[in-house]
Formats: sequence, structure tokens, C-alpha cells
Amino acid sequence: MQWQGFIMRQRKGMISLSILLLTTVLLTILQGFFLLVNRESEAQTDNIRQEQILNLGESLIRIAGRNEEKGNLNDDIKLQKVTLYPGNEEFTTKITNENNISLGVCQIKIALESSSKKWNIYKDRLLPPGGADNPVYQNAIYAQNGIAGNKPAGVIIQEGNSRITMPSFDVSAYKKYGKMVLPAANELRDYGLKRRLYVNTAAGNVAYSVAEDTVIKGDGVFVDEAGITINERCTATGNLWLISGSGIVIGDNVKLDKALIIAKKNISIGNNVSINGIIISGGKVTIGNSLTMARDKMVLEPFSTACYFL
Amino acid sequence: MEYCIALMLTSLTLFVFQDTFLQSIKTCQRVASDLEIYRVERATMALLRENLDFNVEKVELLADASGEAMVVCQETAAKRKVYYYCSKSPTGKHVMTLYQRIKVEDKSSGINPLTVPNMEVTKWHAEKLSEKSFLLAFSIRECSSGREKKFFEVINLCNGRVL
Repeated sequence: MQWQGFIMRQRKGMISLSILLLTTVLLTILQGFFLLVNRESEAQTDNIRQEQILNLGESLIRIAGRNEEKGNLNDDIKLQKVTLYPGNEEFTTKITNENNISLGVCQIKIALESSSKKWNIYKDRLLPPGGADNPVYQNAIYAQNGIAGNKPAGVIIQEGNSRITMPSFDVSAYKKYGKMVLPAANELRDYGLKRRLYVNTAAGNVAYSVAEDTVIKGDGVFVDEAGITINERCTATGNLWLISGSGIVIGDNVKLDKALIIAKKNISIGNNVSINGIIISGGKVTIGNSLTMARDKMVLEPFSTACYFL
Repeated sequence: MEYCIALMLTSLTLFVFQDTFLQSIKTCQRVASDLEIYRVERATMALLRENLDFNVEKVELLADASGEAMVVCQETAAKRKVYYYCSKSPTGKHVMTLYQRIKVEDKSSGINPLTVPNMEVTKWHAEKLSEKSFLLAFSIRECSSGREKKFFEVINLCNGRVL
């Protein structure tokens, strides 16, 4: 009888416990459901926000770009705050237009910023250093310290000691605007150029080199303070600008369809090379056998990069 | 005794409100299906939007051999072309699936499904709105429940144009 009494004592409040347990289970299910719906709602809000930001950024950069081309864009414009729904999130929008006249770079930046997130959208427009109207660009080849080798026939060549001098610009200043490093061999093979400004930011004095037999497709601007080498049998089919703070080496059998080649020091061109464009050297130009050269003034057109998000 | 009463009450409640309970369960299933559909749509469109808005130079809206819409994009990366199209999945339930085919010049294509096997993409349609934007319309159907939702998305091209 003693043990029966013990069980009865333990059973006191069993119904309350069962109800409590049932309530807990039901509430847990309900809470789980609410959490699920809440998370879905947050994900949906993020999705809508992404779409809003992309649309807003795309519209602003397009209008800013259009105004910049017309010369109507101020250096710094702070737009009124925008509130985006759902989420009632306030965004500040700022348009910055930065010009470097000696480099010929104009960078438009759209900064969209909320209390927790920040987006920057960029678009760059590049002119040849010193401006396309600079007299050096009237030549097919300009070499401040003279030309050695077999000069191509039928193109305007200007050698040093004339009153025309190479425009003065600081190649390292491109680093401020270049958001992409120079493409590696596999990038050139699998992607091609992305209509962007590529700047060598690697430490040390190592010149950028494009491997032999590479087909460079697309448009792009390569900038390297330490020098650029385009190795044997490379072909570039798009609009390619090569700007070097040192020298540029073009290997044998290279074919550049549309190229603006500017080096502060010497330029060396191999045998059987074909170049459509303009070559400018602050040093000496050495030309190999059978250079086919045609001055293509289209390379002096402003180079507009693709808009990009960072 | 207490257990019997509790069990009786529970049975009685379930019996009286059985329609409501069954309805609630069905509603929960429908909500789960809808959430899954929205999740697939979000994931797919987020990827498409990000790829198309800033990384595309040219967009062609074509139709494949079976008349289904095909979006052909030349990326800003000059060697890459991306195709978005609907086709029956070769394995599993053989449902219409949205695919992304990436073609790198001088290399074979890589094909990835953008929707999960239990979701069918139907009425895949692309239409040019302007030189800088186009409309994507499609339905997603959850195969097990049969729930279907229609979606419309306007894609704006920042770097490209629609041919």
C-alpha cells in the first residue's frame, strides 16, 4: 500500500503537465512556422532590395555617363535621400566625377549607402594621355629618341629633336582608377578582355607578359609601370591600349588589329609584325623586318569601360 | 482515469474540428509549396539579374528548334556566351527545367540546371521592351502539389543592348 500511495502522490498534476507539454509542442510548431515565414520575408526583402539597387544604380550611372559626355556633370552631387520599401530603409546617393586631365581619365562613381550596406558603381572613360588632340598622336609612329631598323613605308613617322614632345603623365597614377589587375594567361584564354582598365598592382618591378600564341579577344587597356611584353605569335582582335611606364616589347609575328601603344621608354618590335594603330615612345623605337603598319585614328576615340559594381 | 478523460477530450476535439484540422494541414502544405516556388524563383532570378545587368554586352532573344524562347547573351568577357533556355531534364521526372549553358570560345559548353528537379518551368517567354531592357515571363510549378505561380521580371542592361 505504501508504494501505491507513492505513485498517487507522483501523479498529482499529471493532467497539468500533459497540457503544458501539449501547449509547448504547439507553441514550438507555431514559433517554427513564424520563424520560417519571417526568414522567407527577409529573403524576399533582400531580393527586392537587390533589384532596386541594381535598377537605381543602372539608371544613375547611365544618366551620369550621358551628362559627362555632354560636359554637364558636376564633380560632386549629393542627391536627396531615398527610402526603399519594404524595410523602410534610407539610402544616401552620391555621384562623384573625378577627372585626371594629364592621364585623360574620367571616373564616375555612384555610391549608394544605407546604415548597413554600401554599393559603389563605377564607369571610366579614358582618353590618350595628354588628350587625343596632342600633336604626337598625329603620327603613326613617334619616337622621342629616334627610330632604328626597317621603317615601314607609307605612314607618318616622327622622330625626336622636333618641337613636339611626348605628353607628360605619371603611369603610377592609373593605379587609383584601375580596379582590375592585368589578366593572367587562363583569364585571357577563358574570358578574354572585359572592356576594362587593367593595371599592374603587383609589388616589385616585374613587367607584364602575354604568353606566346595567345589570342587576346575583346577591348581593354593594359597599364604597367614596369613594362609590357607581347610575346611571339600573339593576336589581338579588339581595341587594345598598351601603356607602359617603362618599355614595350612586341614579339615576332604579332598581329594587333587596333592598338594604341604608349611607352615612356623604348619600344621594340619584332619581325613580321602587323599593327593597326599608333605607336608613341618616350625613348627609341626598334623595328624588325617586315613591319606592316597602318595609322588607325579610331584608337584615339575615348575608351569607355563597362560599368562595374564593387 | 485522467489519461482517459484527456484522450476522450482530444478525440472529441479532433472529431468536431476535423475539417478545420485537415484544412489547416492542406493549407500548411500549400504554404510550404508556395514558399518553395518563391525560393526557386528568387535564387534563379537573383543569378540571372546579376549576370545580365552588368556582365552582358549583347542579348539576342531567339527561339530554339521546339519554339521555346532562348536568351543568348554575349558577356562583356569577349570569349564567353551564355544561353538561358528551358528543356526537359534528361533524368529524373523529365520536367521542363531552366538551364544555363556557358560556351567559352574554342571549348565545349558547360550546362547547369538553374531550377531543382521537383520544379517545372513552363511558359518561358522573353520579349524585347527597349534597346536596354527585356521582359522575362515564366511559370514555376511544384510537381508534387501541382501549385503554380507566374512570374514577370524586367531585366535592364547596364552595359549591353537587346538586339
